[in-house]
Amino acid sequence: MKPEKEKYLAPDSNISKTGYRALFVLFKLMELPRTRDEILELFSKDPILKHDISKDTVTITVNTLKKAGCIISRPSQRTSNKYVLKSHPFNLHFSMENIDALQALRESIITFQDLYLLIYLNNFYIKIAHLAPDEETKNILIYKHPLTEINYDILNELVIYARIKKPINICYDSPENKKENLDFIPEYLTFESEKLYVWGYCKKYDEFAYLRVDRIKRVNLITAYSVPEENIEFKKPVETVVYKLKGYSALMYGENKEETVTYEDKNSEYPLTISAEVSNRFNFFQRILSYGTDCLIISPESAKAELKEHLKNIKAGYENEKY
Amino acid sequence: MKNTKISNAGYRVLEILKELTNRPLSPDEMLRYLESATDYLYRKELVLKYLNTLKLLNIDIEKTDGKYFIKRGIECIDLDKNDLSVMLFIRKYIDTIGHESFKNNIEESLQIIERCFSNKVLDCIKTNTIKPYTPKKSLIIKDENVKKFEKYCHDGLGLELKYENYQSDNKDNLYKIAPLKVVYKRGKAVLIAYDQKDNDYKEFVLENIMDVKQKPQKQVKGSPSSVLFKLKGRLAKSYMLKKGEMLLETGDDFIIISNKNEDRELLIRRLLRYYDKCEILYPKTCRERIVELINEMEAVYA
Repeated sequence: MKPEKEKYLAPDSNISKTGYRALFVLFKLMELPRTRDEILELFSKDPILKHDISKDTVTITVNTLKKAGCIISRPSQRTSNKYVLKSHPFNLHFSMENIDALQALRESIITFQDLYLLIYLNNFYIKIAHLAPDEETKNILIYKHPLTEINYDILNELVIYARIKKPINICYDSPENKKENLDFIPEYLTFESEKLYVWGYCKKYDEFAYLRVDRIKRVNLITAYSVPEENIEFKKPVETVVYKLKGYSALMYGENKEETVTYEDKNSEYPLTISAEVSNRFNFFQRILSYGTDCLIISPESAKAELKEHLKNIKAGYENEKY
Repeated sequence: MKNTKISNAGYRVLEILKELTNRPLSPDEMLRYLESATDYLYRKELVLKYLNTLKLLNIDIEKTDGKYFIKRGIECIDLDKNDLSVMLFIRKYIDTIGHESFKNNIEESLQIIERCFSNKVLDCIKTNTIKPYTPKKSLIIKDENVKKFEKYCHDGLGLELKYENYQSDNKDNLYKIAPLKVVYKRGKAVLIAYDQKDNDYKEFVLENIMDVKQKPQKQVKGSPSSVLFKLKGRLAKSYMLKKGEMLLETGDDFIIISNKNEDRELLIRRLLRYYDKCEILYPKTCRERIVELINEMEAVYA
């Protein structure tokens, strides 16, 4: 709306007074719920409406607004005898096609795995959600993204502590051990398969581990012990594995914290050669398995052997015809 | 007795405002709209009177090419610098995209948002230099033929594709499909289509499509059958359902999930991520395919 101007009613003014009154009440109810007396009081202060005051006028105006599609709750004890405007049809709003496109945009952004961009985009979508045409599409804008379960306060703390590699104590809701307090030194965050993970040294298991951020229920007090930086590195066993990618996996590949593309040749059978500094074997082989036949491990031999072992175990599960 | 009386003139003004928020209207169109909404005939002057009423209440109405439109929404949104920076990023991002209807719908959404800027947001824009959000790694779009495929999806006719394949069960690389939509994954345009032969949805990266022929007849867009898989152990407790998935059964140490929408070859690869904690139950072809894929992976190192 334009900034408020002083209103006056010229003698030849060509307006609809009842239309003016309906919009006047609408705007006042958009500001806050009001009683009938409060509305009458506002009428009395308006140069156009001050001569036209009766209790019936308020009722008729509210009825008019309702007929036009406003949802206004009746004054009752529960509403402190106020009219409450719950929704109205006079907002500019997105079409269904706009909503689909906004959601498709977010889904395309998710595939880039840029956590901060996704957070900013989600915050933006929350603010524009009231331009959605209905509750269902409003909920799509607010909730339909992979970070729904993340507590942003906890995430902020993790980002800060990871930056300075500060030892902290967290309450982690593990699928196996339920809620447990863990001493943890966060190092970095990754966003994989639409889930957010924090990587770092876990004292209890004495290993470099990754935890799902949505399962961290609380960041407790910062732990008193400190681990020198060289010690953290010592606790992080790293093995370099070199592998090649082709096909769909090469097309869709995105570098991560532990990996670098060392060679790229579009004309080669395997267009990408990647060097991975593997600190968590379970996570690494998850990725390798998902590449299927698009992946060829070059070195070391132990990594090839380990992959073959995993494949053998998976295949064993299919040996009996059950279904 | 309950008073249900309304003010007819007031109602007509509200109806005009409602319709103007949906689309620009000429006075004649407004008149016709009112007449159809109320079954009465009105003089054109009445419409002008109603427009005066809206203007008197500071509703920002402008006239372009003989049509009136609401320049700024009656309810405003407050955005901060980060939001504005994301808006600029979105504009920059969609500028690089060739998919017309996607691009137009995003642009239309941004224009609606701009029309709802509060005075605070307008001040913020005036007093600050807002720069678009810069991602850590630049987001590169590859969608050369996207307009052609956008049209194919719109036409709804069948397609015959020759595709540089990553699957082993279609050696001639030919697919007869019903194109559904084009989406973007990691900046690459991907065609989602229904394959009647396999009764499933498939994804085709546009840059890997070697040849395409549009058929004169419509290709059946069926409903694919589901793939059922079982997850065991801790994975069963922590698994987050993906789009198009349903939880069918929960046991002490397992869950059974139905997946309907995912490209089956990509689903099978994803399920390999779960090691031996996952087993495909149905259909038999998918059980056989995962074993075949494992054999092929083993053969790479033979």
